[in-house]
Amino acid sequence: MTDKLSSLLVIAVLLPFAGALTNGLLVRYMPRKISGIIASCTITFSFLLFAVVYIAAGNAIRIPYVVQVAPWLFLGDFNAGISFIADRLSLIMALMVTGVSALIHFYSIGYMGGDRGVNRYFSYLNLFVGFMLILVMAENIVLMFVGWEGVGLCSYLLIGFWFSEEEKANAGRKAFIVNRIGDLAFIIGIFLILGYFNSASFISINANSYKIPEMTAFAVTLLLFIGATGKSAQIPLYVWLPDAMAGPTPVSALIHAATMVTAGVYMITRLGSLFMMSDMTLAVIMLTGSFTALFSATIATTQNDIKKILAYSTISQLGFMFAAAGAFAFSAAMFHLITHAFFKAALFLLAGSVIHALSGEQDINRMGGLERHLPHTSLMFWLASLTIAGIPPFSAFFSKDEILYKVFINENPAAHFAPKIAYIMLLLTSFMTAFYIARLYFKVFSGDYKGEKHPHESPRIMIVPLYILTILFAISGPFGMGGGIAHIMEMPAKIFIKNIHLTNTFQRILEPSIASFGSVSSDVSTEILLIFVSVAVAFAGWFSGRYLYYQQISPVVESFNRKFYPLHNLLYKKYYIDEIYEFLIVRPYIYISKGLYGLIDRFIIEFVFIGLLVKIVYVTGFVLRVFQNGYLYKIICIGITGLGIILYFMVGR
Amino acid sequence: MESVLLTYIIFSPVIGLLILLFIPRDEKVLIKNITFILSLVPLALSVLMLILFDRSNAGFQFETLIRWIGPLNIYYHTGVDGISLFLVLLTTLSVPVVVVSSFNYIKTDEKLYYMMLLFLETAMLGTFLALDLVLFFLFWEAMLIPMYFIIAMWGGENRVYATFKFVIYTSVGSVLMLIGIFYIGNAAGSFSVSEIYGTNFSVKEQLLLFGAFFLAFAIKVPLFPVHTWLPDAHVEAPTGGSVILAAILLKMGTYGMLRFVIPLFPNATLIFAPAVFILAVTGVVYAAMASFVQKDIKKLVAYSSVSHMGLIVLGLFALSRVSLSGAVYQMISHGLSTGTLFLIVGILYERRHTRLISEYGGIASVMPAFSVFFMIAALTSVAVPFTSGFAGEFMILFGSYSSEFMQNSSEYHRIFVYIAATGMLFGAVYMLWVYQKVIFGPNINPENQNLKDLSFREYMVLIPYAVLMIVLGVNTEFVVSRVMPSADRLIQIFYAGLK
Amino acid sequence: MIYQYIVLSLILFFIGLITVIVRRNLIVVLMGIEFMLNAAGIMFVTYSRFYNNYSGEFITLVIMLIAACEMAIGLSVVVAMFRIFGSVKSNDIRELRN
Repeated sequence: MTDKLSSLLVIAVLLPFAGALTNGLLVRYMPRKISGIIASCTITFSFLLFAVVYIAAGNAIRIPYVVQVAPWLFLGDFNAGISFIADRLSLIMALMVTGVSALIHFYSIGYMGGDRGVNRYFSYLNLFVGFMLILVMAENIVLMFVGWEGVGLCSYLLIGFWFSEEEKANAGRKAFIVNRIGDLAFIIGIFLILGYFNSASFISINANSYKIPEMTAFAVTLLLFIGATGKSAQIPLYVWLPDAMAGPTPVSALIHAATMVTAGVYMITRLGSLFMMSDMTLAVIMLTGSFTALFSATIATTQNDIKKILAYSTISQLGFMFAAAGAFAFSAAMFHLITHAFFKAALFLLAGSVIHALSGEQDINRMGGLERHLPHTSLMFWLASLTIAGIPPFSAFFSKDEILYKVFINENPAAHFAPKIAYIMLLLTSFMTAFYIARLYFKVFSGDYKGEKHPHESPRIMIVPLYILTILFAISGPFGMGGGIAHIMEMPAKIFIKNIHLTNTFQRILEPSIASFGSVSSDVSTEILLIFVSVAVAFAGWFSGRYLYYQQISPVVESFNRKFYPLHNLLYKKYYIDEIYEFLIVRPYIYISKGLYGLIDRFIIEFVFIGLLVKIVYVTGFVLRVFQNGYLYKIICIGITGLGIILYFMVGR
Repeated sequence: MESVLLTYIIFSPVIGLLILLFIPRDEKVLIKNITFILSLVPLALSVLMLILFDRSNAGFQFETLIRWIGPLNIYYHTGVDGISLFLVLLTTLSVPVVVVSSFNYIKTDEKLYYMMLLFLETAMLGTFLALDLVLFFLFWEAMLIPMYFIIAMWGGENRVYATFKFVIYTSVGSVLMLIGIFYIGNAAGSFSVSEIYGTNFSVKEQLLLFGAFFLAFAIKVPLFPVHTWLPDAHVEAPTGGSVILAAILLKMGTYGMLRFVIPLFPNATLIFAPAVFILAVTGVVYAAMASFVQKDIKKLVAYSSVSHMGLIVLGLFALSRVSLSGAVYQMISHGLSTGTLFLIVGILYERRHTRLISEYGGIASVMPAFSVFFMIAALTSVAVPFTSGFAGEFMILFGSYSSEFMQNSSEYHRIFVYIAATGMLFGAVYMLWVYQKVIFGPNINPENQNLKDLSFREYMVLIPYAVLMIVLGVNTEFVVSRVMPSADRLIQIFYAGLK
Repeated sequence: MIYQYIVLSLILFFIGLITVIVRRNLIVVLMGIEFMLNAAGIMFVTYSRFYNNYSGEFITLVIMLIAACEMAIGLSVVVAMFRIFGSVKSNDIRELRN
């Protein structure tokens, strides 16, 4: 890394902020159209700069390279500065963030073009990318927290973008506050880390993590993980994400699917060596992740709002990533993170395209038959659905399989049962995923159109970015192929090229910058078996969904729903989690606040304490008033008596 | 090392006041403009002080030491160190802002009002710069008079009750402190800080003196449970009064603790520290909850002040260099953010003449620029990174977490930090709630539909604070590098005096 | 010799004091006060004469001066009170009483 490259890197991080400022301050005085172009160009340029840095740096970034920009917080013996870390992990993540962001920015030009506050929108969106880049590139954990909170802030602003609707503003606030709960745990975790390592830098934390005692490691990592559950929408702090769908759809695609919500996974990967020190936490992460995956996938099977389904699907897929992180397969987690960014961003944007086509309709019961009206959208949606379902040869098949395999072979000394339970839950989730996405796809695109508005295909500015994303998620799979798949692929390939040896390119690239145990040996046959199981499950899910929802809803569904009405209702109402939280946390907080204020301020301090003082003063005054009765002669008599007493004591004795 | 700069800074507002005296009271525009220009003089002088300030010198600079009341060893002793430097700057910056913000708000007796403001400025600057206990007390009490008149003459409906409460509360503390000052002067033979810092008091004496001083400062801060005067005073005060009260007056309490209580009574500090932590932390959480249930915006902001000031007290008594610097930083930041919030309430009040949250909603659609400033202040208040609030709170919390002093003084010291950190969460709850209620949502109330956005004058009022909140959030070095040496020195004095 | 002077001064003083306490008419009260002041003046002169120290006489002069001023102010206040309350009886003026 040269100085030139590091300054390019700094420029790349700062560009989105510049874009945000330009859009926020200047564009009010310029034509509205220009704001989208400015915003998209800054992000594209930033992407290009990252690409240049990545390519030019080559092998130099096998070892993390630190770019010091400025000192920031002085924390006693050390300084948490504004400095960036350039290694393959951060640069790949930055490339993904800027790349997907650039596409979504271009899409947004079409999607938000007619909105009055378009410059505000692009300003927030640029600001978000800026903070996300700070999160990703941060060299120390305090600066990461800056990005961490910053993206939460932008998410708040963007969810509440259409602020004049109370519900949407509420959703934004909910997101911010739920995130703050996680952030609270995160910041206490940061204190523990800073206090223990006496440094904020990731490099020294990871290097010294082996010194940390077991219990401290457990506490630190658990706190950080709680922080991650807030940002990455895992149980128990996932509740904000479905509500966050109140924001504009490109925002959902960018923030609530592709980038921000994956921050937790990135953070765990970044601090891999530290997390490695606590098997307990890893078991907790794995079980939480896989349970979240299953939990939200079941909810997704019954929802009717197209964006809500995708939101629960996102939570579920994030669960996969956490399960992989808990299985210590950081490379697999990161790979799924990236493929997920591609296909889930595409799914959201396609959903946005559908919503755009139907002028704001989001209920899938009022769609149907859109295949004929939206040919591009429906084709790409079909591909994306197959991808998320885990059907080969698309990317999610590779990434998800790798996760399933890594979880299956994981051996966690803290909880022996954890990996197997997690595997079963994830396998069930795979089935459900294929099922709900098939339900979504066929309900929206097959059969007859049930709405009133006339659907129209989206403009080219929206379609082109979508095709790029489609290409990405369709072909990116083989870069991260697991050992088993590689083995299968090698067999036919050997006919043409001898000595071919396929490997997991992604893992190889990432290897230097993430923590790993080294390769765990296992026989290829288990892996191949697992591949067939998961492919079978995916197909089973897809075709059962197709069977029940193709063209029209099969009567089986109706009778099933009637027979198992409580179950269906439970899922449809999302396990009543929102209501439970409302009842257990929100209401008590309000009542306790009111009660405490009434009790302490109004009653104890004001009424009892101050009241008592006032009473004492009043009574004293009442008694002493006898002497102050306003008759001149009495006053003088009292005065003379007083004088006499004083004289008696001074002279008389 | 004699320097007259500080004397100029302290008394330049009084000279302004004298100039103002010669302007007929009917020349309203002239009075306003001249006051504004006059209030820039101390600002310019204090900026000069900032430029000349030597950051490598931890002790007092620009000292002036003149024998004032000879037989009693009372001195006119002034000086500035890293701790008071930025409080002085905050004061001299706030007064012009307040002057401009009052142009439309104050409609009666303008001349008297601006004279009071200038008098108040002298008293505040004197309090921060005095290094003699009697001189300090003099300015401390002098500040009460203009504040009393500002609330009592230009305040709201219930102003008599509020001023009464304000004055009585403050006086109770002052009286005890005065007795303490006499005792110290008698024991040390001098009232000047440079001579009393080394005084050895017995532990018993320290405990009593600590009680006397701490109560006076705690009332001013205000620390839970002696905070109830603040919401009333804020609600009734005019905007300018509220801004001064929140931005500067409250800091006089924490400043006093830092300057006098901690270095003078180290043993008592050690003994009382756990109790102070409990009060501070209770205040952080309780006041945050209390502000959530308020219906009046000003009251909500007032309670948020109580919450934030509790955190500052925690940072002061944690006594590590990071937490002390963080506490000073947070004093500045709180002055900026809460000052802005009161300015913002004032701007709303000028337009609608109500402060009830329920009267507002959807303001963003008619006042977008206003909403941006409100947002910046709210975010600073809830300590979002890259605002000054985050830097302050993070330094306080981490400084307390890693503080050796806190570790020694109480066994479960980290619990306090964890509880105090929840303040960041509860802060977000009420601040975003009020922001949403006022700014977001549908704009239904017909009276809110034609509100005018910020005027040029209001931009000028809000911009200095807003810019500083962000600049100080990104660049903390400028302040911290000047504060930290003085904080270190204070800790040294503390440990030197500890028996 | 000195004895008689002191008795005279004391008698004058107590006449003044009793006047102030007993009478309600503010003008008479003022006269009582004047009595007391002059009693003090006589006392000063007496002592200065017997001790051959003239400062007492100077003080008496000052007292007379003060008494004149006080009388002027006192009377004007009484006149003002008469204008406002329509009376110079101290019991009728109840502004300080609830």
